[in-house]
Amino acid sequence: MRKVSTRILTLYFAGVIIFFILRAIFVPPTFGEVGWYRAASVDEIAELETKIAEEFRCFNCHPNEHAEWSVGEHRNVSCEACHGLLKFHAENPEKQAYDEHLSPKAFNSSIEFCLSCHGVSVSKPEHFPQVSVEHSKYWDCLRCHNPHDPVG
Amino acid sequence: MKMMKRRRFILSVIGLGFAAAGLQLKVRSGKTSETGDSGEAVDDVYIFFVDVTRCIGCGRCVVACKIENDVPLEPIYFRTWVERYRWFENGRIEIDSPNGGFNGFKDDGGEGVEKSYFVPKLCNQCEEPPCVQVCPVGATFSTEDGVVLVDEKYCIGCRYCIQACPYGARYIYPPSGQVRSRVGTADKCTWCYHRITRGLEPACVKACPTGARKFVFPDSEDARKIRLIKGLRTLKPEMGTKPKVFYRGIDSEVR
Repeated sequence: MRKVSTRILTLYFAGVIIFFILRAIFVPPTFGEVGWYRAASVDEIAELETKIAEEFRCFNCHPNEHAEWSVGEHRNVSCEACHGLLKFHAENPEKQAYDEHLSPKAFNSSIEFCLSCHGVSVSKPEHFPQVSVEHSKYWDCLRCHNPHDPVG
Repeated sequence: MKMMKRRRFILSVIGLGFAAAGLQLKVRSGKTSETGDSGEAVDDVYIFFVDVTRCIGCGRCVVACKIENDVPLEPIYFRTWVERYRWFENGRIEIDSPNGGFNGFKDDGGEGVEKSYFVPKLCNQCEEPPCVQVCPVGATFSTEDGVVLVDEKYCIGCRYCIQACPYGARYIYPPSGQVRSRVGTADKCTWCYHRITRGLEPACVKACPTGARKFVFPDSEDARKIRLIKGLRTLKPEMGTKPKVFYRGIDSEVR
């Protein structure tokens, strides 16, 4: 009987040791340091690069636009809303100055671009300025409005 | 006698196991509750505020989010999207979101529409996230600042979290995406964690032309202001997830 119990004990401890060895192999480093996850992944995600050039970088090179924009009705609209995120342009100004998907270039005409915000819709807030195509008589919006200072 | 010994040994092993499990449970539940009940914003965590009365449905947020976070451009993958709710005079409610609002919304004249508005949606970064609870490998988790993230190196792509999320905020990153390491893993809005930890606003907030989206840093002036706004709502408060995205101006039909 004694022999059996020592065998069981050895097996038991061998199992425990194997468990810890396997655990050391399979559980990634920093797992469980803060919670039930890999603590390093938080830093990995936090260290991702942003693609947005902040306003102050825009205005380093575009002071005239800043002068118009900062007093116009669009002063609360960020550069990014119309021109795209454009960090690649801020870092390398010779590169194209527009984003493929988020810029006037993504639309067929400036009318379409302006109407993407200012088109009439029942779903929009009532106080938001909305116009129909007839308002422009199919002229280019830029004939009358400066987008940086639209009603100035 | 020997029987007794063995029994005592087994019992003590079981007892130790329970004690260890209990200890772990206690450590896990030791995290303090941060947000109050639905509709009540508090100021020591990140908060997202959506003012539906300002949203014009232009979709700039959707585009900016996709660019900033390398979300595939196909119309079924979104970290954030915009829905249009329309109440018709005959009592019908219609909800649509063509391409997630990426190209904006086509207006059809609004005949018979009694009431309508746009509702931007994104991950609610719940305080009690069901997606974290179901993850079998610990690849999705709440950080200490209350943001739910996905560890793309550890996710096995089992899709449990996608089923668990009551808001449909998650998707599996397809092979067409630009980030190779993310392919086949769950992906979701992180409130632009890489930006907010640097003190910058998320991309969607930056791109919003009307200020319908607002990101609130803890202990900021905005955090105090938002506390004063009456009638804030969260989505599906009955789920007990305690979302941290607060909406102004939505009805209970918005879910």
